[in-house]
Amino acid sequence: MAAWTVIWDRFGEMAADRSSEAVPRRDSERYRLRPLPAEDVYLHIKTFDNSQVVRLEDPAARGTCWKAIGATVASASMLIVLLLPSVFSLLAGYKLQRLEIEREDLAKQKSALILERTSLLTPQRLEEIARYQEMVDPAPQTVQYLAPSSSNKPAMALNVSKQPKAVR
Amino acid sequence: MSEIDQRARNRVRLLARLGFVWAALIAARLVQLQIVNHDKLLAEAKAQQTRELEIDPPRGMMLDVQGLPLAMSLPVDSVAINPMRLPDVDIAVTMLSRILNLDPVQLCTNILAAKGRKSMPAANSTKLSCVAASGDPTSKPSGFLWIARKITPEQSEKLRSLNLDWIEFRTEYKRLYPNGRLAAQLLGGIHDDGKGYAGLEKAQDEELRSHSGLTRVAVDSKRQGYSMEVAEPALAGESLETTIDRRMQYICERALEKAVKANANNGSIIVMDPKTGHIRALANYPTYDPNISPRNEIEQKLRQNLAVEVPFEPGSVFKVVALAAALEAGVVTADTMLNCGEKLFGKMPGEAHGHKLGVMSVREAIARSANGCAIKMATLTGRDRYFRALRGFGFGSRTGIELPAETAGVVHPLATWRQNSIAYVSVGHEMTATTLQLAQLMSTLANGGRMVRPTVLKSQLSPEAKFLRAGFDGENTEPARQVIRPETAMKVLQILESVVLQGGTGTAAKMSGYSMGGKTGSAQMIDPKTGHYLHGHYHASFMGFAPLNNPQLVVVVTLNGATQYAGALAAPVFKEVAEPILRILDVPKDLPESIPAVRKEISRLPE
Repeated sequence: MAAWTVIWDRFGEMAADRSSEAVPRRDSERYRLRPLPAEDVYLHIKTFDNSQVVRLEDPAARGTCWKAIGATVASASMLIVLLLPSVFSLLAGYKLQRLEIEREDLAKQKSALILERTSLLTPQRLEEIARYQEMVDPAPQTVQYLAPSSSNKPAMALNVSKQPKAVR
Repeated sequence: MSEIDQRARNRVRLLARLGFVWAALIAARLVQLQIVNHDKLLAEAKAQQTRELEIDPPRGMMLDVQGLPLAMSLPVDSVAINPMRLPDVDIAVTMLSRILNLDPVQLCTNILAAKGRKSMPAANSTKLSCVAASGDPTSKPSGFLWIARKITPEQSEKLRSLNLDWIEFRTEYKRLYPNGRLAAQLLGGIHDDGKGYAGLEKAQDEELRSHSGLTRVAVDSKRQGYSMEVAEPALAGESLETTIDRRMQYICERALEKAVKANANNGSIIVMDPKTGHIRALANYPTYDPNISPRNEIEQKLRQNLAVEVPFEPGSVFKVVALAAALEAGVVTADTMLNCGEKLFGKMPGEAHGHKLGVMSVREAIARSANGCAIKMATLTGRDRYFRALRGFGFGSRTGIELPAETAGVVHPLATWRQNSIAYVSVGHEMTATTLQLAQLMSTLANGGRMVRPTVLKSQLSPEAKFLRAGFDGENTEPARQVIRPETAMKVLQILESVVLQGGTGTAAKMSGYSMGGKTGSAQMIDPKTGHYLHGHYHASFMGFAPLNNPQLVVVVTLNGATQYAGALAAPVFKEVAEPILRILDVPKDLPESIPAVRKEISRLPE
């Protein structure tokens, strides 16, 4: 602080010098010592002993205090209520972005799985597997059409008079 | 005023002046920021705080009748780099060329060009050295360079595991046909720019094509998005549910390949549901793999759909039109006796194998494919009525199937017909038709004379609608047209049954356990060089249906360049195709069979 006051004073002196130039100095002041920097600032520490002081209860202070607490809590609550939606929407935004990325990844995986499933189920492949396992299409003469049974009898209970159904 | 007061006042004045100057500077800066540089700074802020993402949705799928994809777009990664952030071009080139199987020299040239430099020839030929020459004044440095498009998942994984900040990945879609060659001509294909060049990919390009959109994502300092705004909505391509059954398609392609390889140049098979007009299978041979793009125009032309795009003189299968027209006109019945061996238009009609035919019933004439009788039936019907029937069955017009480049075939206007044109046309010459038109003719007869438009599309589904389609079975909504009376159609079918019975030309098509009918046709081919008919080279066709009383399927087989008659070549293909398809369709047999071994076994089973 002292340094700042010196700076200000320097500007002040300059201004004073400018004003003093007009008025000639008196002889008695000629021999006065130049003031020391910050000589007008004194630091004095005085200790007070308040240990014996008893503070009297102020009946209005309690009320003021509670009012202050209430006002603070109310202001804080209002602030929170006002800010809360923004915070939640921000957090929800982050979550949405994460979910969007996850959705894209899942869509990619789904496409890859559909492709894999289709590739596994191509008629060419199925035929190769069937040939490898020595499976053959049944000859037309060996395909039998069995009648649907109305009384849940075994399916092989043949009834040619009824509408036949293909069984492979 | 004391000296101290004066000083204090001076201080305050000075402070006020400084404060004013400070405030003025702030105000000036604010004007500069908020007004003068407003637009530029706003753009910079937006660029910093938001990220623009181009959303490129996939092209629509094409599904078979069971809902399995025939064509689909798979998201794959494409790789780009930021050349300005490359720490070492040599290392980058070595690494990328190795993982992506790229030419290192070309890659080096591209990277250096993107950096605004010219590449120098490598000093050491055994080891790659990407040496930059002085700046190339023609090229501007760029912060983005495509390295490879649509890379494999393995390559992508390798590159991603490197975790390098100068490598960027973009998602693009690769069109895949998971069944390979299956239904290749029907599906067609797309060019690299995503535009269909053939088949349904071309015809339904507008519906299948997706439209990319733009999304702005607000990002934080770590470039993590927290808010999203759709600037332009992206539109995914519509998925198409076709009427094609992969199993039937495979059966047809397998049988056709075998037949063409054995005895023809090329061929096609169509399997159609006569009641709905749904095309269950449409096979052509030779075929191709649609996963491989055509390299040039010629290769693209070779991929044409023969069944729809290439007309031919159908020959004897066309006698069915003469038969239907004559029966509809009431000039003949199945038992009317006709002399097939007399001169017509001053000329003896030629018969297959040079046989001489005499008097026979209409039924027998069709069964034995007598040219003379077919001409006689058409003549008895009369030119006008015959021509009306011909056009009524859709010949000379496109069927309207949802495939590109469909041809209408050639039917000359009646006014231009010569006196004997009816003789030629009634036996399937002097006009052309496609395999699809023959399938439409047979379906019309099998559907009680009601003609339905052939279609390969069951429905068009948006991605959302696919999940909400319960109960929708995609009916052909176009009204059917009655071409001939149902009783006439039934009579035609009954007469056509005789073709596959003892003495008919198409006995090789007869299936065990099913009643059926059909017609063979062996038309001589025209030599394109000389314009004359070739001997021993035929358009061998067979069009048939089964079962007789309630036809469930129509199959048309065409083998071009066949060296034998249709009865020997095309009819067995019909049988080979129709038998398993009837089994797939769960069509019960309508004729008794005697299989003693099996019957005995069944009879031993408990009640």
